[in-house]
Amino acid sequence: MTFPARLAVGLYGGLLRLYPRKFQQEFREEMLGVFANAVTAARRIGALALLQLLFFELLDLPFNLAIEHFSQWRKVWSMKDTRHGIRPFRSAAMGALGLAVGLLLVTWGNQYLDLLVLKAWPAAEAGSLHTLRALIPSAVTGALVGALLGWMLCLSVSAGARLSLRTCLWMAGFGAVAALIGAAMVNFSPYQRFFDQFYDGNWQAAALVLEAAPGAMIDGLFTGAALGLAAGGWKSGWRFALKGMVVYGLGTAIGESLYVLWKSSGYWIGNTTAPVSVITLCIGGILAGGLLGWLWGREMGSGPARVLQANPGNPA
Amino acid sequence: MKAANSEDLQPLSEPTLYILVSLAPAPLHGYAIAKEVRALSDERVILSVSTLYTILKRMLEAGWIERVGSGPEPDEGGRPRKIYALTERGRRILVAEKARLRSLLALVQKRTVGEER
Repeated sequence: MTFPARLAVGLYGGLLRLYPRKFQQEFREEMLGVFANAVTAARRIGALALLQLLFFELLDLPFNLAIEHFSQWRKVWSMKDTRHGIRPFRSAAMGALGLAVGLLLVTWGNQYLDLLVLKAWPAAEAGSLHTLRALIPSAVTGALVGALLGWMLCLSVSAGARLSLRTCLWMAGFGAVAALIGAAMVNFSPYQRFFDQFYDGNWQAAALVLEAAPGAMIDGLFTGAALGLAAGGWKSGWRFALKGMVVYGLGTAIGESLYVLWKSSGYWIGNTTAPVSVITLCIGGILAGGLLGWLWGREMGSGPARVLQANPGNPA
Repeated sequence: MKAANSEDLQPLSEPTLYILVSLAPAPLHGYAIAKEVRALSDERVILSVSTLYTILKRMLEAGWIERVGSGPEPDEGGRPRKIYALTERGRRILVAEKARLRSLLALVQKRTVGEER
């Protein structure tokens, strides 16, 4: 076994010590053996396959650790993961994490991408192309967030490579389009300017929600459509588009309301409202991503339906 | 023999169904189960090691599978590989799921006559 493979097995062995003692005594050695076999097989394919395996295992492990610890306290839950019960929870957790991390990346990445684009395209700074230039970072980050969320949701239902790739591509494409529409709404329309007048008055909360919610709902519409299309075709796409629109709108409304409440409470972090804004944005993302993940988990967790879909003429 | 409870009547999750199907012809060790599930699902379902053993533990506790000794070939670290086999109860669960899927398919076919592409 090569050094990277030995390192990966050593790291995984250390993480397995986080399981309850009884579980470790019964399965740790065996799990390490299976992991070592998987690492050797991936190493033979190439470094990328090994990296993919490590990401897959490391992202899935915390959920199974949580299930195992939780089942110690609540025996009634112990069989749920062989049935349907636990799967929507895994998807909800993955969706919440995926969207929250994605939104953090957007906040951080947009600034840096903006600088990069400006450097590569300086002539656009002063001219009419300035606003057009601003759309590029939005599209890139929108695509990345979509792909990240799609990949994590596929991971939560143990989806194979083809479904994962299809979902990531749909999510990236639709994510970019949704982000472009959102950025265009802010940059090219009197939409934002209309709400600017309410920012310091009594209607601040309502103005913030009304300003942010339509963009988020468009994002949810496209994200949901991409998920549904990847998993089950056009009918599923329409259904998920509506669900996505509702949960993203809801998440944003709650996030923005929290922002106003936090701001009015006077508890600041540092000298600006920026950290508060990012935290409440993430809370909104956690809610929206969690709800969307829950719905996706319920849809994809219906195993027999997927088996029937895949093998319509050969049910058993 | 354990009595059937209400959970026995619920549909199986996809990874569980694939694990039961992979063990139906012959007993297998953990790594072989993971590979078999991947192949049976046409690479659609890939089980992480932690998910595989979370499910195997539940199935052992429920009496659907049992350990039947160790395999002849050790794993990468020289450890003996434990072999898992379906129990009588596990086979009954699989047969029940097969009947459930069959009746579900019959219903779908009955209600969607002429809609096949």
